[in-house]
Amino acid sequence: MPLMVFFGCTMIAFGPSLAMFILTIAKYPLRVILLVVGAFSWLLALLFSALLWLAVVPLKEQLAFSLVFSVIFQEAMRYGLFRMMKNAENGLDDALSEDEKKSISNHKLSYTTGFGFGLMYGLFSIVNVLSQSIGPGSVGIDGHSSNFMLISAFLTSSTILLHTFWNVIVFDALNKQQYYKVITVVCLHMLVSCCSLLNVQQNLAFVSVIVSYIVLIGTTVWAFKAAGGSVVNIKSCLNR
Amino acid sequence: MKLLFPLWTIFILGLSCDFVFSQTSKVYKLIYKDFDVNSYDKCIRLLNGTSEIGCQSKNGGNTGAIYHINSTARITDFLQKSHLKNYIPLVDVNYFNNKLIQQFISSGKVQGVLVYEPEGFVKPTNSWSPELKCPKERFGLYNASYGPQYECKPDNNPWNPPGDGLTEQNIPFPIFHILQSEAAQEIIQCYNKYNSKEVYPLCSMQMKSHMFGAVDAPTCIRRTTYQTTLTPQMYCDAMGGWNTIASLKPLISRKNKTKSDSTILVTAALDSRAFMMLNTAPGNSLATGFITLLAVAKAMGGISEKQKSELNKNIMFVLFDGEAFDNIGSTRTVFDMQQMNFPVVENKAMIQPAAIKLEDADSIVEIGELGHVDSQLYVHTDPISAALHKSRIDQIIAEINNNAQDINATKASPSVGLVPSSLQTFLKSRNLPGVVITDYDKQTKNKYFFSRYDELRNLNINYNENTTDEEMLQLLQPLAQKLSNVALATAKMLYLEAAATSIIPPEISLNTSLVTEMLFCYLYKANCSLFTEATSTNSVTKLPNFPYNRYVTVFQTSATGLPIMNNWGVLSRNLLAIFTGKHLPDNSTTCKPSVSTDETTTYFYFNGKLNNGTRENFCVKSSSFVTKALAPAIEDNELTNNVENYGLWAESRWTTTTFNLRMFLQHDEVNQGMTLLAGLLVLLVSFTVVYIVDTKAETLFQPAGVI
Repeated sequence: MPLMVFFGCTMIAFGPSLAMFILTIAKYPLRVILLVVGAFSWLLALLFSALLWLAVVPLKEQLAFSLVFSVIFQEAMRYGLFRMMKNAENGLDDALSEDEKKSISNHKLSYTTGFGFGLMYGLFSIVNVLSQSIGPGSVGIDGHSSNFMLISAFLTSSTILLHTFWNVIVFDALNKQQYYKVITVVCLHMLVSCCSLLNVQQNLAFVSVIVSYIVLIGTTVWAFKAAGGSVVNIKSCLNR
Repeated sequence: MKLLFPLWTIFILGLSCDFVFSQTSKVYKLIYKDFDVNSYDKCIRLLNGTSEIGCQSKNGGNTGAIYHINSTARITDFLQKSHLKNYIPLVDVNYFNNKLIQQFISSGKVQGVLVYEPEGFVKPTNSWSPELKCPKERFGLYNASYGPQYECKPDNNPWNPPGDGLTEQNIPFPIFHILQSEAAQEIIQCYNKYNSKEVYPLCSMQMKSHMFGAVDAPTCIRRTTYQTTLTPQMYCDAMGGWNTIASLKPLISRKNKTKSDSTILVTAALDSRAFMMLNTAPGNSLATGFITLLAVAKAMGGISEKQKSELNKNIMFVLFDGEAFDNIGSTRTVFDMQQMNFPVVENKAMIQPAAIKLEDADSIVEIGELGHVDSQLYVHTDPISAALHKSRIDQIIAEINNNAQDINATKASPSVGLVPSSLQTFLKSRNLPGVVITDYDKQTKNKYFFSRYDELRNLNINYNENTTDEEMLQLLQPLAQKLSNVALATAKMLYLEAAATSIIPPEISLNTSLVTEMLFCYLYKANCSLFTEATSTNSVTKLPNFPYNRYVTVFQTSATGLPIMNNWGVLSRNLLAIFTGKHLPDNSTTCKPSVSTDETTTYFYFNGKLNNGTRENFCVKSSSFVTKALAPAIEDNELTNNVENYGLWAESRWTTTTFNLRMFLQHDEVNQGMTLLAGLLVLLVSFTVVYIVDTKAETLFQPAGVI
């Protein structure tokens, strides 16, 4: 079958996202709208990063420079998103029905917007790679890692989830004005992004995946706690 | 803000889409190594009256692992021991021939072939010709009913011994010839690094050369002409060119002279052919024929107008185009002569010379290959028809010998019939006294006939990239001297044949340096002083620093029916006009016919020599004509699958992005299957986990003590 790599990588990258979308978002129209709002704000961050890259001509080849500023812009947009949602709260309270309010209560709002944020990121990071995986060749002729496609897919998958969970953490922290949490999230984002710079190198490509998944596990636990979960809840869930 | 919201989204999405699907994206460069489309020569699809020849790739391209072949042991290894399903062998040109291609076709595992020249390559170690051993037999003079004993037989002293017929094969995969040695070395390095043990990942290549033409020329041309869709798709174009004709005697209107003079036709073939013609079809040995004809024209053109008018017979110099493809030019000329369209297409409204019919042709002198001429010249005839003109032909040979210097002409062996030539086409229609003058007796001396290696080194002119132009002129001098001798002897013979007297005027003379210059311009560098002088003042074409590729290509005519000739055809016509015509003192405004409907003569205004920084433009008036060299069947619109489609050749069309060559690594199917499996697993796990979390969300996310 000629398109095995294509389908495999697509499913790895967007498997969790697809599951999350179909099962948690698709049934609630308001969540879909919030998803798009989150996606849009990530696109704005991309626009600003691109403008910066265009403007600073001498550093066009230095990916690291654009990368660092892109992370800063994304986090800034996340904050902007928070501010916008906060300002819209009163208006939403008046305009929405009970059911709708329940569908985006508490952390569901931050989860949805964060998911939109991450989904758009995922699309942009992997579609280019996927379109090349349709052809007959695979990466490696110039000495790059031959697992480039697979690693890109896994990284995308984990980063989509990371963005979702970071959003939950950050919105929660901003609501409670615990700014040290926000700074930690920004630092983690920077760490994961900078590790992805090692992707193309032959022997170090897997480093970014390992770092990313370790951060993912930590973030999942943290977000779980921030959203109200605890070990007690898990136990009671298993007992049912 | 409400209105701007959706606009923003669309704008940014649109902006971003561009970056995603670009071919030259960074990821593309991680995977593929592209080879520039001009760095390799391509085998294309040609179609003739009954079949298609050449190469074709699949629409999406042919992919295969590289296999380096540079010895006969490697060929055996490849055919017997290699176990993958798809290969693209990289073959050293010394081992590339029809036999290898046939072995590749029957092995079934070859998807395409790349040919390269190894380091330090100058010319092939063995003589090789991709043309048939007996070329042009399909529409030749000899068949079962006429002179079967003279038919060329491939297994018994054929005319072209090194020939193996590769050009006439229908090859199911693409073949490229890599022109730059750096590119070839890159491929070899990749092969050595990854493929020596045939373990994945393998260094592979993909070749694309999808051709639109199919089946045969009549079918393809019919499909192209009769289009039924709103977006017509052109599949192929008819091949052909333009013949150049110049009359030594100025021709006058048929009102004043209803019947043409008895005419001696002096002919030669202009074009050439090779297995891969797009970049190179040098045919250097073949070029010596028409260059000698131009020298003859120069020698004869020196006689005065009075001497020209006193000639009993007229002499017409004819350069046939498209002869390499079943004699397109001469076939069309015979047809035109029968239809009273020679030398101009009949048009009662114009002032035209009397039509020259086959009955008006007195004899034919054809000048063939002279690249390897030493002191012996061979005169070929068709033994069957020449029996009726024995005395005439003997007279011609005697006249050459009496007036030759350092050259001796002799009749070719009687056991062999007439060699492949334009004369064969004429003899099929009428029994004329005709001779073909060549440097060989029974078999061509050209070891690389119709091959890309029929270039200067084949004429024993050894040069390298450091040779200067002056050195090249020196190197060409000995060959030029020999051709001069032949040309002068032929010119004197022609004068004796055409004139009433037997005294040869001293004006029939030839400067060897002109022949040297012509060899230089046609075979080494077109950007030379002779060509620059012989270019019209209103021409804008720039002369290149390499020799012109004399492949006839597709037939081209302007929207109003005016000829569009190849650059080398134009220059040959110009030279012929300069040599045979009358130089006038007119300037650019008066250099034109007095009556605009006058088609008996053509006026040219040329650049001329460079003298102290300015060009000495000059006007030439010549009875010079240009006729179509195109199969008659195309204009008849009678394109049936009848084999009587003489000279019917078509070249397939392709798009600008058709040719592509790229190198990359390939992983095996197991590896790819694992990726797919991993994907399915991830999908399954994620659906399960999300479903569980979603259904238990109420309990899981309930903060302790808060409802």
